[in-house]
Amino acid sequence: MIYDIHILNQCLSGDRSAQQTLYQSLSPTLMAICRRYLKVTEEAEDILVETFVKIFKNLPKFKNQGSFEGWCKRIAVNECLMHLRKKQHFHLSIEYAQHVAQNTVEIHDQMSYEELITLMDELPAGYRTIFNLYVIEGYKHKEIAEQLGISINTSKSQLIHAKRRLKVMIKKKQSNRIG
Amino acid sequence: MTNNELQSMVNAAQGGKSQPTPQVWDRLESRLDSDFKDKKIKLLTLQKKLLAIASCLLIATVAVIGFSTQQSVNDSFEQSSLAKTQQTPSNLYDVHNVRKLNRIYN
Repeated sequence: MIYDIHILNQCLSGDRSAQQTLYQSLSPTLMAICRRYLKVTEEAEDILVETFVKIFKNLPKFKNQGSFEGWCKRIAVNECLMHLRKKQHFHLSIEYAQHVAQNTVEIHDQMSYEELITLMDELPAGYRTIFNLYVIEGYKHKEIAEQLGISINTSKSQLIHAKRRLKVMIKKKQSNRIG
Repeated sequence: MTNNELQSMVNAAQGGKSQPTPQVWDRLESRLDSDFKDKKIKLLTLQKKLLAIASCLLIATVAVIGFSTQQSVNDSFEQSSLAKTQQTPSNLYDVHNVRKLNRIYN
């Protein structure tokens, strides 16, 4: 999506209707990101508000180099990580490894966003965060370790656990479908 | 997990959209308003502080100028009175001589 420089300039001068236009065009994408990281919708909405406050505050720093949407997505991911770090979710993951998925999801060749979210919701916060960062956002383990304040090995092991859990969940859903 | 499954998840995530509730915009708007008010209050406080500093500087400058003017007036007064004092003995001598001469002539 290309963002009109005129709208961005209006947002810079504090024009509320321009800010609302930008919010309406960006919020579904950014909300989808927040929801991928945070299980509770209300929590994801709180972080969405924080993300937009930061976007409007830091708009003068955006130099029109690269995608504006990409810049906003990075802010959303960082806000989610900051929130998770505050809640110290990353120490919880191993203990939840035996948790069994409850919801049923039909896995087809192409997964929908809703199916993805249903699977993600079954993962503990630590697994979910690292899976999101590594597989979906494309971060390296070193970057994840720095962002979350954990070791590279923890990041790697959490990713392995996350993939294993997802594999079990997908298999289970598929066998439910066949059975 | 197969690469296919992973790719399918990545595609789902990248194309994903989720509509927030309408109340989120209201919350954001009130947050932006309160941030704007805070900014305005901070700006006003800063203005007041700057004004106070400027007044202090003005008072200090006026005081310094006043003091230095007074000092120069005092200095020039002292210098002139000193000059007068230094002149007095010779004047007195002259007066004394004139009286002496008057007496001789009279």
